Amino acid sequence: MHARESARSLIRLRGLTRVWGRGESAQKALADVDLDIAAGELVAVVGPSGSGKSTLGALIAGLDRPDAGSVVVCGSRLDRMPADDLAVWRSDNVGIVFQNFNLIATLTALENVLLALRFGRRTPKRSEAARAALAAVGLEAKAHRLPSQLSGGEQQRVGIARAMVHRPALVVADEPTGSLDTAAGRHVFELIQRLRNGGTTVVFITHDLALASLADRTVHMRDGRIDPANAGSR
Amino acid sequence: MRSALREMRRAPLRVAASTLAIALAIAAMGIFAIPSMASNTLRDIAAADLAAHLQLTTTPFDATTLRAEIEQMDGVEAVELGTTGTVTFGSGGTGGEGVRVESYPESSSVNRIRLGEGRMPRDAGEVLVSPGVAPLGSVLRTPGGDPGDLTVVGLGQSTLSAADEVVFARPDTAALLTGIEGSNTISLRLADPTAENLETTLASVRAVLGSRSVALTSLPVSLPDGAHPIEEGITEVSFMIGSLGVVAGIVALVLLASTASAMVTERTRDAAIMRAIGARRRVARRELRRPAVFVGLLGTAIGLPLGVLVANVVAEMVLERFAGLNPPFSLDPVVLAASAVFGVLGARIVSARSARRVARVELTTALRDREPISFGNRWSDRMLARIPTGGVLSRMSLRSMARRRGRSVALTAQFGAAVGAAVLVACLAASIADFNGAELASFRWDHETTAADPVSPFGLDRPDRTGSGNGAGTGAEAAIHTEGMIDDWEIEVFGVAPDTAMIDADVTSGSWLSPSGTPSRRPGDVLPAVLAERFADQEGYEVGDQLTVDLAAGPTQFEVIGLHPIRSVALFAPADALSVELGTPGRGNTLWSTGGPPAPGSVGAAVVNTTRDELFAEDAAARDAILGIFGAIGVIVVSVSLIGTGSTVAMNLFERRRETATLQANGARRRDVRRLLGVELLVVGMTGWTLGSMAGIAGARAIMGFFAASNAIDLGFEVAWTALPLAALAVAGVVHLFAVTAARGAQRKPLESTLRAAT
Repeated sequence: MHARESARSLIRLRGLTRVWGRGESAQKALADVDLDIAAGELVAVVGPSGSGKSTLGALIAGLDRPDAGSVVVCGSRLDRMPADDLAVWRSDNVGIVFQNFNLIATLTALENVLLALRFGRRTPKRSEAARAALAAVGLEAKAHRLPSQLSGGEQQRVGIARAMVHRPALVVADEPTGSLDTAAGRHVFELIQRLRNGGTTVVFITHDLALASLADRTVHMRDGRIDPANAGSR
Repeated sequence: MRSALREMRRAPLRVAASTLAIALAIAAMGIFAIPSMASNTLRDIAAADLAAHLQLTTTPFDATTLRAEIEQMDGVEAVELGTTGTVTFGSGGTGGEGVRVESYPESSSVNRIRLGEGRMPRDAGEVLVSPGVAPLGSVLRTPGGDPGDLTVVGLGQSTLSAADEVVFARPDTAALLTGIEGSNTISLRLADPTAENLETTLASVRAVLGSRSVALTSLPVSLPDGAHPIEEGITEVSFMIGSLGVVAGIVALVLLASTASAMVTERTRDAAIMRAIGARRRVARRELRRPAVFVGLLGTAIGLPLGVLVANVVAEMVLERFAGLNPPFSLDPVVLAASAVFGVLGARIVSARSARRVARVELTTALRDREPISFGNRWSDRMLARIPTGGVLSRMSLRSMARRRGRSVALTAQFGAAVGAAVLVACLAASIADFNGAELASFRWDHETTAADPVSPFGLDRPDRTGSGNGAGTGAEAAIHTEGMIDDWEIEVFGVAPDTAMIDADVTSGSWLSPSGTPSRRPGDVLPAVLAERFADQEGYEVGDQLTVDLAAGPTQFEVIGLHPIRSVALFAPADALSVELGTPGRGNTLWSTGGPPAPGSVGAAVVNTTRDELFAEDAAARDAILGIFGAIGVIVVSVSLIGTGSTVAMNLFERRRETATLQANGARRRDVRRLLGVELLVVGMTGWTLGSMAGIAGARAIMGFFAASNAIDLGFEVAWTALPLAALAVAGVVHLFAVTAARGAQRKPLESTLRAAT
């Protein structure tokens, strides 16, 4: 079964280890993690603070490199990839949604979304694509607003539009609802579900067990390891 | 103190850069101490040397009764009568050049010699020479064999002959060497040497000399209040150099302001926590300011001794170059105190604004780690956001500059200061080089032969004037070249034939000297004169005006008949009429020639031969010395600016680390980040280049204007156009370097933690 899963995996992690700090203060954020996620899956990663969820998400999204183990995503071996190649890979293959939105404060909503089309493969009619992405998250009317003129929920919707505008195979959302109220959080999650429905693989990192229960699969993490008791519960 | 030290450990490079910049700036400001240091040194030396307050050179006179008469004058403390003349020694000593010989009695009460090496002469066959004339122990061979070979037993100089080449001999030896019977110099010291007393004494001495038919052969040297002859020039130069030091200081404060801003901004949360647990805003502000003040203190502590060192080194260079003096180590407490206040108070002031800003941030915002620098709250931000300025990265660049206005202004100022300093020095160099050429542009001669002593060996009448009567071939012309005073201005007075071929006779208004307008004259007649236009403009003289020039022989009336474009302070008058006024009818002291100097020995008096090229080279050497000092201070300003720019760029990048990380997370490669930063820096750098170029040109123009006005000469002004594109290239290079380094640094930072972290 493992071999069969691996064959159709979009994400394949083997022996993944990540250590923060050095010497006596060194702390294992991830310890020998193996994980496979299939294409089109919506996987929720849950666990207490410091359990390694965000580190796992960052390694899958190509934002970080492991100290040991391998990361293969969308057929590319990320742990050995040079920084610039990794950047190009990200722009082509992954969309990232952050808890703190990470919108560029000096760019409007539309320009923030356009940013994701700036670095990757050539996309025809970028502006139309960006507007369509904003429309998909219900913010077309606020396309020319700056982040400081948007609410937290709206900012996160811009973040989602930015993550999906270049139609990536994978979206990694790191606690996207963590800074939002319940209603806004629900709305954001619905958007993420819509992504999955469109065929995008989604890794959804959250504290919210209620939202996690709506995912195809939930991966529980504890002390840098995948909890074997809940490794991939559905 | 502890928090400041912790801050240093947190960002050691940034703190070190700011400290270094402040230290360099304070060191550069040390230049301001030079005028007072030089003045004190020079006056101390003048007092120790018993330098004359009044010195006159005259036609020879019998000293026997004159000394007593002068000594009895009111306020006269000491009198020395001596002999001076120029002697050409044989080979083996001074290489055949004419050297001034001055008599020096065994015990002198005026103009004492400072002995550098060896000892004072004890008998008639011994002399003491100023450094550079001949080595200690060498022998000077006298031309006529009398008084025989002279042994150099000592090296030294007097205040009034500083930087001149002089042979000091006992009075009997000097008389034999110069062939002058009696004395021809009078040196006086007054008990109270005020300008008024010196004026009164000079008038009394003139009267006594007049009654004995003794004439002054050059302008009297008057040094009120114990001043040194070169003091004024050094003060002028030092003031100008010190001004560049202030520019360095301002640049350093801009840097400290941005460093303080970053330090303070980074501690937004710390300050919020302090406030949350009960600290008042005032207390929080004080805590926030402390590291910047500490940097100011540290920079000042390093800069002050460095400044004292710089001031002493430059003072020594200047005094050595212009006066041949080695001043003792000294310091100026006023400049030290002012520099310290500048460093510490400046740091306090520039950090106050950031501290106020951060202490005002809402507690909830600060504690939540939201970015305190927002964009979009002001209408100008929103307007800017609506303007499509290129692609997304270009828009980001421009808006980021608007978002961090203070930082952008600081960077612009730092680029501007670096460019300004470089352009200023380049323009000064171009202008002075141009002036050196233009100063001689009105003259058409190649060689100038001048009588070394106050004698007039050249005949002004035809055919002597242009013929072989003066020892030169055709293409020669006798003239008069002397000095005069108009009010407090020294003026070069040229006596020339109206149909001279050696001076450009084109005037800018009025007319040139008329050949028919100079019939035989008597002393006291009003002489026609063509005056330098720049001087006339500054002093308000016009064609038709009369002016009085104090010549060595006394006051002489001139009527301005034309204005001449010559750029020095000069006046041209008919040579024959001027020779009458000077008491040497039909004789001149200068021979200009285009075909070479007179044959050696053909003139019957000691002469100094100078070529046009030599004059130019002499000017160029003085120019290079001044420009060298300007250049050194310019390098300090440029260095401080570059340190500041680098530090500010690093801080800018640090503050925007999440922004660049977001870009990278979205696929930006190193070259994209480099481009983003490069565009921003290029806009700021080129704005700084534009402003700096303008400021540099304006500053250089102001400096040249100041020099021109204080010397009443037409220095002119040349913009160093080639420096401008070079400076632009340098700015572009620095921008590229910073952008490359910054982009590389950004790529090395872990994206994940940066994106998750707070501001």
